Amino acid sequence: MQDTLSKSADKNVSALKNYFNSSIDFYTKKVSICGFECQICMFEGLSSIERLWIMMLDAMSSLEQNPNTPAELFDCIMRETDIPMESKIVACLDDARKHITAGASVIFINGYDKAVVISTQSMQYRSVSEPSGEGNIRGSKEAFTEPLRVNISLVRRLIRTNELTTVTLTAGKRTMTEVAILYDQQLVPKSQIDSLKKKIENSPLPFVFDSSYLASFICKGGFSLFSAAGYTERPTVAAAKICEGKVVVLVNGSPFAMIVPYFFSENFQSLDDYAEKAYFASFVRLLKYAAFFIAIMLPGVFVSAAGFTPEVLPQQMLYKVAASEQATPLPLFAEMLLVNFMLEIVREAGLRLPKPVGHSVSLVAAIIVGDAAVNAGLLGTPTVVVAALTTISTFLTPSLYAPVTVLRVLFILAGGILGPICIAALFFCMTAAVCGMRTLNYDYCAPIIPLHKSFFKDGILRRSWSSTAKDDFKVTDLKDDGN
Amino acid sequence: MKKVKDTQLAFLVFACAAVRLVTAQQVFGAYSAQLTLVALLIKYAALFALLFVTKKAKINVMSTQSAWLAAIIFASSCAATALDTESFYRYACDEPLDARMVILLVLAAAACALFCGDGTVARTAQIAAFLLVIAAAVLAFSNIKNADMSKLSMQQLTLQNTAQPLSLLSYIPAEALLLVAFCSDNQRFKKGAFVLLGTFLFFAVLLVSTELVFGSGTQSELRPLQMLTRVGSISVFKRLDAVYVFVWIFALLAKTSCMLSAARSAFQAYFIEKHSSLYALLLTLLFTALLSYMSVARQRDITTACIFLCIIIALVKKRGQNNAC
Repeated sequence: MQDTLSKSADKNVSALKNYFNSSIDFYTKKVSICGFECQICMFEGLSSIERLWIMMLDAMSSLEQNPNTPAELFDCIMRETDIPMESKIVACLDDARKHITAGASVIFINGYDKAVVISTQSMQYRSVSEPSGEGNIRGSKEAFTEPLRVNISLVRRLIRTNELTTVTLTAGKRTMTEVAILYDQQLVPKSQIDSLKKKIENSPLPFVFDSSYLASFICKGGFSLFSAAGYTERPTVAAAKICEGKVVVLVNGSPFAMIVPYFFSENFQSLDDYAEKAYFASFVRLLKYAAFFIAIMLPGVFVSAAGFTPEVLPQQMLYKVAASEQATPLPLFAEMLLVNFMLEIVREAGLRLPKPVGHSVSLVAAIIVGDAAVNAGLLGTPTVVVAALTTISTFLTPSLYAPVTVLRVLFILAGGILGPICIAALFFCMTAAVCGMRTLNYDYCAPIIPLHKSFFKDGILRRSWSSTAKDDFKVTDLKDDGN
Repeated sequence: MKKVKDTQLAFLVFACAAVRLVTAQQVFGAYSAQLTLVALLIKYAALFALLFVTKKAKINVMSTQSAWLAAIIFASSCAATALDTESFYRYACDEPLDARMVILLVLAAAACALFCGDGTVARTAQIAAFLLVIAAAVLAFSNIKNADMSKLSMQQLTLQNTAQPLSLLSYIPAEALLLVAFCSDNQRFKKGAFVLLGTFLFFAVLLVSTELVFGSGTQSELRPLQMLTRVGSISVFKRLDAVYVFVWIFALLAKTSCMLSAARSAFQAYFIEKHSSLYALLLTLLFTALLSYMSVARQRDITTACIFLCIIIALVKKRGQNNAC
């Protein structure tokens, strides 16, 4: 498809038809413009023929002198009409393919080996709406949508300086999906962008339908439960990250932007933190950290404490746990595993079903299964309370849902099989895994370890804007800090 | 451990030294706080002198010639730490888990961390250092209400009563070799001195807190610091000892992985193949497992002797170079 265009419009069109396997939505039409034979190519549904007609008729009717050669007609359309053209001229079939699949119309002029691209996109897409999984109280309510250009424009609207740079490339051998890299050219080194582009272009993916597909190629490394790339649905968050010197990757057809590098501490931050008073934002962050540790460790520690070191439990609690365990047929370890598996099944069932049915499933699971299991003496009340507290805590850090769920099960197994020493060993391994991750040459656990001054401004606690604005955080500050 | 930054290495050495003092048997309470602190001060002064001399002499204690010695030192320390962890865990949790199982688990966790790289091990040790300091501060604070100044015994210092606790601290720990190798220039030497000072202060706070609470009763306890964790409380938070035990086991695991990493790096000098890192790790684990059958005291003797041997080899090599010039 790198072939240059032929002077024969028919040949060009038949080459494209051949490429698209005579698809029924590939629309071609022979027309005569100013007496010259031309061919229009577009995809139905992506482009509007009515729009093209209105543009062409309007433009052609106002021509002052008729062109004499196909080359003159090309110049005429390009320079003497008011038609909104694409800035690039199509000189090869691959260019034509790119523009047609992006929703533009391509006009081949018989007798000339270049084609005109006209922006007649009129594809159907979801309008900009509120984010589905990133709720906030203050700030913008906009979320990304599917078309890449709309998403880029949403970010561009927020960063109106010349520093915002957008680079596009394609990924996915079969889908040739358009991928955009957005960054601040003052803050991101060119070598980093070049490396990122190389990684995306060289990714051997057959198809790309979401930015997350590219994560494992961008953040290379061994297996890890945590993700070194962050995701957001909100243009405001993406813009804020760009202002910090991070890179945002958008993929056509996906409303989720990928942010690299992404740090562990960012999983506990939200847009509202910066709109709220600093003391409250800090309090909420502390809650989130506590919830994270509760979510991964509480069931495991509870099983371990009850089974191996009951002396650490307060007496009254110990009596209640013991009484409850005596009344149930399963040991505490098995009970905790069972409840956690059940909760995950319920969550998964509620997530994939249509919303009204999903709510019903949750209700049935919570009231009938949960309550009935406790009343029937199949499950102990302390187990259900711990599992419920754990599950609620999980929702405080939605971006860590996957690792938290798996780690929780691992901690239950560790606590149930080998007790406290295994819990400590697993916690150590988890810490090492977090400390060992790197993304675009930045430590995932920065700025906590290695400790950086930005940690004291916007780490676990957040200081007020009057303090943080004096020396705004840039991700490049974390490199070579002497630690 | 070439990828480890200076500050990280300083924290690593601090974490290794601090956790050894906190969890080792017969350091706390065997003698009065005053005598133990004086002994520790003498020991650290000697270490400081050693750092100064090696820096001035510009000798490389971890050269290729002495890599096998370094490997023995670190593997031995790794085994000793695993044994310490097992004995500490047994004391703290009173759990009938097989000792070999605990040692295996400790080594497995350390090896797991090692797969993430040397930098990871250092960063984890840095977290352990922070946790140790925070835990020590909370422990001291939680025992303020139990402290009684009259329990602090002060006695006249003589050569005889100072020598007794000094004999308990007469060994040179493996992390001292890291410190000696680390302090190659003035900037690093300053950091090394701060590490010694920090470790001394850390130990002093805990030692004095223990004596302020228990007085001379510490001498009848096997692990008086653990007793201190059990009596200390902040308001309704009465069982903070579980948190301290957790932090100290975490630090012990961090130390084990640091020693394992250092031993692997030393062994790696003898492998030139593609998977040298893996082979070195397997050899280190095997060596450590064998050494874990020896007592901790014997391993400390081996470590001390090997460190002296390393320094002597480095001095001889330096002298030879000077003569050649």
